[in-house]
Amino acid sequence: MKRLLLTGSLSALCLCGYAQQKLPAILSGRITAGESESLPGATIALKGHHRGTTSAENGRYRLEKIPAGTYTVLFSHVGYRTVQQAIRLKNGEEARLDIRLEPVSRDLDAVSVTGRTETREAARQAYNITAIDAKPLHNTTQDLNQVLGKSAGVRIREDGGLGSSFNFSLNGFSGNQVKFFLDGIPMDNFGSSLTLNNIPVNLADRIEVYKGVTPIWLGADALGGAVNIITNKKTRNYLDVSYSYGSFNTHRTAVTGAYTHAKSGFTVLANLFQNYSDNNYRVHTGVTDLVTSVIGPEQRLRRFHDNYRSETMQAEAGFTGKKFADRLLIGLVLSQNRKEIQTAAQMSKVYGGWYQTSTTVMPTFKYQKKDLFLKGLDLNAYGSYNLGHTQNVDTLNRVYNWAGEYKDNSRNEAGQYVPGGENSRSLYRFRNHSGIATVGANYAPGDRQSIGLNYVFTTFDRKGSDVLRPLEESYQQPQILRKHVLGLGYKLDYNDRWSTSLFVKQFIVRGEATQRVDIYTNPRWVPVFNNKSSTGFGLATTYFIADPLQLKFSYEKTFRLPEGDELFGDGINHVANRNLRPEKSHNLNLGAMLNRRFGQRHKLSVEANLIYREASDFIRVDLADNRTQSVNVRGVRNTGFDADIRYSFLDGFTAGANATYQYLINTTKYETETSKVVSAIYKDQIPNIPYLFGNANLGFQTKKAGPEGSRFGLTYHVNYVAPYYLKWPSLGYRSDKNEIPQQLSHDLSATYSLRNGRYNVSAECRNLTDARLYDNFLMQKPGRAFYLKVRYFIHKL
Amino acid sequence: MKKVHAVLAAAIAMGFSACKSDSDKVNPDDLTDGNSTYVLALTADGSASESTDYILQTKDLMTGVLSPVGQGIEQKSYRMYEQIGKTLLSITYQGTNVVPGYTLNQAGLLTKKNGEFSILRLHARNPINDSLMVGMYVPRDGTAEATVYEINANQMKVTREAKVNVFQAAGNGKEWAYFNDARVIGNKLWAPFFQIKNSSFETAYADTAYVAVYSYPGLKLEKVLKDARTGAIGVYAGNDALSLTENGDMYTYSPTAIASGSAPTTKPSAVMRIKNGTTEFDKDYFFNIEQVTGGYKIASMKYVGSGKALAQIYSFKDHTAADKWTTRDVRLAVLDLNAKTVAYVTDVPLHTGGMKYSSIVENGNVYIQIKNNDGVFIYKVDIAAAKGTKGAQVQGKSVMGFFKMSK
Repeated sequence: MKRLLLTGSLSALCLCGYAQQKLPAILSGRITAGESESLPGATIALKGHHRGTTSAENGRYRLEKIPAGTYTVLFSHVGYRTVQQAIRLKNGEEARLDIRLEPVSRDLDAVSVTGRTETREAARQAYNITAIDAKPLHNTTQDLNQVLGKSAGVRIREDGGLGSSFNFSLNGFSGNQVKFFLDGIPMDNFGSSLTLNNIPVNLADRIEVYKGVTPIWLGADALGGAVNIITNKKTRNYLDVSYSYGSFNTHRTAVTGAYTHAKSGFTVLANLFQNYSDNNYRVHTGVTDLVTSVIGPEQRLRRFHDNYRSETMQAEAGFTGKKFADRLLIGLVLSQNRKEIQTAAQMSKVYGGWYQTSTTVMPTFKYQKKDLFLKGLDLNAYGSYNLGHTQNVDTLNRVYNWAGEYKDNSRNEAGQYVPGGENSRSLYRFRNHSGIATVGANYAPGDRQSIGLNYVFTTFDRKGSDVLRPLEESYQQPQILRKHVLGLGYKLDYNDRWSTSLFVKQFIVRGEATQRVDIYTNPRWVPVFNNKSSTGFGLATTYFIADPLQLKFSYEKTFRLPEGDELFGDGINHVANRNLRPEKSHNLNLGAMLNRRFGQRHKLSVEANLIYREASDFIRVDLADNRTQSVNVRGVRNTGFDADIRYSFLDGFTAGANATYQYLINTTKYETETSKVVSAIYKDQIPNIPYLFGNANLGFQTKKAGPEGSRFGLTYHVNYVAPYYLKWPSLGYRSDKNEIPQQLSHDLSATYSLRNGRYNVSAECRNLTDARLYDNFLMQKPGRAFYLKVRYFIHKL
Repeated sequence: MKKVHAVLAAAIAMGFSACKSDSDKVNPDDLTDGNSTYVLALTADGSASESTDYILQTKDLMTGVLSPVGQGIEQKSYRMYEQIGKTLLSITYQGTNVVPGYTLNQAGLLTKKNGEFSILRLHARNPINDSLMVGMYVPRDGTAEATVYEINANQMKVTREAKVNVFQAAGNGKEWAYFNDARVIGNKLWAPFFQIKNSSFETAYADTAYVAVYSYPGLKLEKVLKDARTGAIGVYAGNDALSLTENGDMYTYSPTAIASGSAPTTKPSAVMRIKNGTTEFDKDYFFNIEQVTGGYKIASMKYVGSGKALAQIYSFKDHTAADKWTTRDVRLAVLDLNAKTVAYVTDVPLHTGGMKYSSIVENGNVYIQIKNNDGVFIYKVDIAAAKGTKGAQVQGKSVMGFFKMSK
């Protein structure tokens, strides 16, 4: 993608030798930054000729078949000054231009910042954003969840091993309050085969975590923030194949690749990945005697019904770099998964037969064009529709214990078959028919100002049935939800030091549902739906005090619209609540960021953020007739901070640490709308949310590990979570509180690469000390585990 | 590791702390007289995933505030409670299926017993004697069999587990029996039920009272008592449908009220009798509550003694679909079961119905939870005078278990 940042001035360059050959001409060379660091991803363009390429990981580029003539070559990279170089090419000539790009310096007197990648550039936005460079992690066996879980402010809570349900928490907000995007596209309708816990890290180029305040072009009805996963779009021809195997019979394969025909611009992108695990890790628990029901003493037992598998194919084809479109891609996502369910929300309830399957069949459409009709007008559009389904299978009339033994209740004393289920007998199968369409336009008439308009439309139309309950009328009722998020933003870069964005967003929810009325006199279904409309707004501003020190402030009043499951129920245990209101929040961030180089060898970056959230009408799960239901009750205030520090010594040694503290309190004075009694937990700390956690890591890398182009690296990571209460802290005897104890886990990994990253092998040990780790309602997580990964990566210049 | 601790210690040192510093400041003398104590299991404020029950004890029900703040034994989830002799069982309601037990220790303080067992949620249950209880899990998803447990609370284990067919008891091939009380008397298990045809508790059979009688411990269906003078007996999971008197007669009550969860029926709300030694409703006895009160229905009933029962009676006549399950706005009344009279209790406000596990009978008085928008309070009701006295305030959503326990 040609994202040119035209800041002007000419800098150092070097012009090297000529070679004699036959027509036409070839231009090649190497792009460096700072001293001699290779700069990948730089754009090399022949001005006015629609020809260009990008530099590879080693900084090299090559443009072939250039007709003889005089050209102006533009060398650019986000965060660096663009270099213009005129060159005259003769027929058959092979010219070489090695270019050194200088970083953009906001203040010429200040120490210059070097080596800034797009990841760094993203972090320089006015928003409170954590940008994670995923490329160095491509040799690890992590999925996106595990990568994200190591950054400040983020806590991923999982019920178990691979594929288990998880809860992504950002500054204390979790579940649907945080929204996810893939290349700016909402992932809402991707289905359960394409979530953060089964997408391999190799798919991502970098990940941006927006905390609290989200820019309009993401078009999110997010309360707590948004996560945007950015895939590799710069390397136009590459193949990345990896396979890992590890503990608990875990197999994961990922193949990602891109092909672009240089002349026609024809492009094919494909991602294939597969996950499989038995998840049969050991847990500490007692076995219930099948006769006396007495729970025996604690033992170490393997999980026995937790198999997970998923296979996904995401393919796109179309044209890139053409006059009519920078990108025009038609795609298809196909995926399937099958997930066994080992336990209920607490481990005391164990299952041996219940499972769920789901599929995704989703056509997609993408269009992007810069300078459409007039210079500075950019347009992008996206659409997708998921035709996949989800099925719940609970037809085994048995009661299991942790030893895997069971009581079979499927025959009565007379030997007759007795149907039943483990949780609730069900073969409920549904399609959500969920679709998304987004259109975004941005117009920047000059260098200093831009105006953007973004519109996101999502539709949800659930159709479900259960062959075991053919007469259930509620399944035949309409369950339609349509959401519109319209955003308008204005950005002013007043000068090189100060930049501000202002925005307003309109959130609209429309739907169709029915309610059974007059159940005794004239029972019938009548339409009922509360259409809602809310307006949010905000601003984000940043000021560079000196080049390495940046201040940020952002505020947003935002809303999160209810999801289909919350409004219509899940068809099994979650009851519909069609009167659910959007959640709302005032989000405030204040941050400071410092990037400095000390001498030629030491680099230091420090970042600290203060956050404040005042949220109300929280959507929480409550009980309704022994089932659960989403209701608007809680008001929450979060006052917290997070800090991140990173240090590196040349390319060889890195160290980093981050810590997050969040103090969430309950601001609900009355528990019900009619109550006149002040709640006992008014202003108490919100339970079951980690309030203090942190990460630290050390890395060592050397190129002196064998033949030229080889590399050896060692990484150590530690995660700490302070103990926290499962229930309201102020209630009950201290000695009887249900507590999640302090957790400390250590991971170690080693990577060896040959031929500049073409061949890679890595080994990892997670939870090195075999510590007992927990989440949620004391759900136990895997102990010590080992993984091995091999990866092959090639790319063409 | 030390480094990490140092970094995090720095964060902590910023002056924040998650836990409140007040430790357990409870004086044991306030909780017990040494031999006996009142025990309240209450559901604290908060929504389902974050709140839970706390078991409190006190020797004074009439003054101050009974609060879970800083006191009470925290439970893992919402629970139901049953007192069997000297043991209090905290029984699964949601989430976990683990049952712990509590007894009073030497000092008279509630202490967790050794051992736990695992059972399904119990919709119908009652003690059999001072060590055993019977409980039934009743399916709602169309599964044909209910599970019957016999539990030994002294030994903290299940001593018998069996199945009974819910379609067989209903006997019409379409709907199934939903038991709401279970009482073992001699060699019989009495189990009143209403009928349902789906998980929304809909039924076409709301206009008859049913009680299934099983042999015990054999659990063979011996008979289903039916009476069409009124509608179904009891309420969902009420466990108060059968009142056993000193002479062995049993009284039943039928709300026939939408607010109690009943499907509509034209049958009047009434109390009926099953005489000791018989397995049929007494044809000569019918206490028509609506007739006596001028059109109001009964929400619940608890036998006190000497032919007197405390009842909750709705304060409104027209029940609509919106009232379903609310048990809203009931009044307390003393019923004279022999004279068939109703005497409203004075000085007690309108409140939400349900009594079985939120009241204690002691020396001709009933201590009862009175819950409405003004909060939750304990009232002492003098049955002879039909008069209430306001007592301690309870800080929480609801009293789920209310017992008197002794060493």
